[in-house]
Amino acid sequence: MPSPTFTPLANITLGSAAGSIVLTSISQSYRDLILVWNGKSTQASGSDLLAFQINADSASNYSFVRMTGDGSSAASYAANASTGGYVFIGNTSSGGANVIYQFMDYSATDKHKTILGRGNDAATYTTASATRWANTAAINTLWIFPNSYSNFAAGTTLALYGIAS
Amino acid sequence: MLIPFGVFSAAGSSVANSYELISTSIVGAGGASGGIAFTSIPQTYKHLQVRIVMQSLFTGNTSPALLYLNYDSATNYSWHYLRGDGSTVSSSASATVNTIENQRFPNTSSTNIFGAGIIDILDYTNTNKYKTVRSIAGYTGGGSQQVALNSGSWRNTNAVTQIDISGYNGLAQYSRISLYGIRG
Repeated sequence: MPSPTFTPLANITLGSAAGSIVLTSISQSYRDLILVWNGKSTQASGSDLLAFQINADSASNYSFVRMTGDGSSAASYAANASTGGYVFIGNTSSGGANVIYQFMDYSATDKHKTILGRGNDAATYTTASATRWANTAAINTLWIFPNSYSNFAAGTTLALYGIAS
Repeated sequence: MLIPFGVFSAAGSSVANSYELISTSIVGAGGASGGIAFTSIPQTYKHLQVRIVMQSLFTGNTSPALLYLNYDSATNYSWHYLRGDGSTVSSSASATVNTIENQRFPNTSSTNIFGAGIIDILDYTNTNKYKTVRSIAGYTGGGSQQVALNSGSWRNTNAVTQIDISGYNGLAQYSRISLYGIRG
């Protein structure tokens, strides 16, 4: 029997600039999580990255690979022993970016967690990424922040959805 | 209005129950040498989405997720991919093949390391067109990594009633494949 899903779990709009967004006590009742971010970094120049960390783990327990296009060339980069996952989001001068992270099988405890990412910033990069958090624990907390440690601009939005199992 | 990747309905849409779970399969002990099949797919949606977390049973290397529609294993498919492996970006295609390959997933030599993928099958009930498929997939670990965007075509105007997913030699234990319907 089909069951409706894609359930909103959080919906945040920043009324003022903020250094991060933290989602805690994430329900364990779903199969996947989808995080949709839309906004800007306040970094003055250069391309910022939308970073995430899981369950307050800031150690080098992540690895990622990304593929980018900047309008003139395509490139790929990978890092093992990273401290988070990252997708390009431009800076304060760009028109804004959106990012979708898909946390697959987030509540399972029989595997490391794989996160697929898509980032779109018309001023800088389009990005596809895959990140692995080398931990079999279920995900219950997400910390989302600009990698530059500047701020998210006022008006930035973030939504989290649960996909049924 | 938020438009999530891979889904052609907006969150908070005024259409109730527009994204529905149809079925989930989780591979048990011993693996599934023949992969997973979704049969008798309801014809009441506009699009389908398959969400995958898998390891293959292939011992040689990584494996694509192999997609078959209506159990058609004849050379009625074609596909393209754009792939990044951490150092280079590459692209490839096959025009007359017996499956749609979605790049790429690790095998069981990489303990706890699974790849993930999301496949959209668009207009799956429409009998006026061939079926178009798109996907994103990726993994990291076990000494390699990859993220890829894929597209595929099944050259058949029949409505899709069955989906088979496998890897080379089948799917390992704890692999999970879920099928969702999207109303339009």
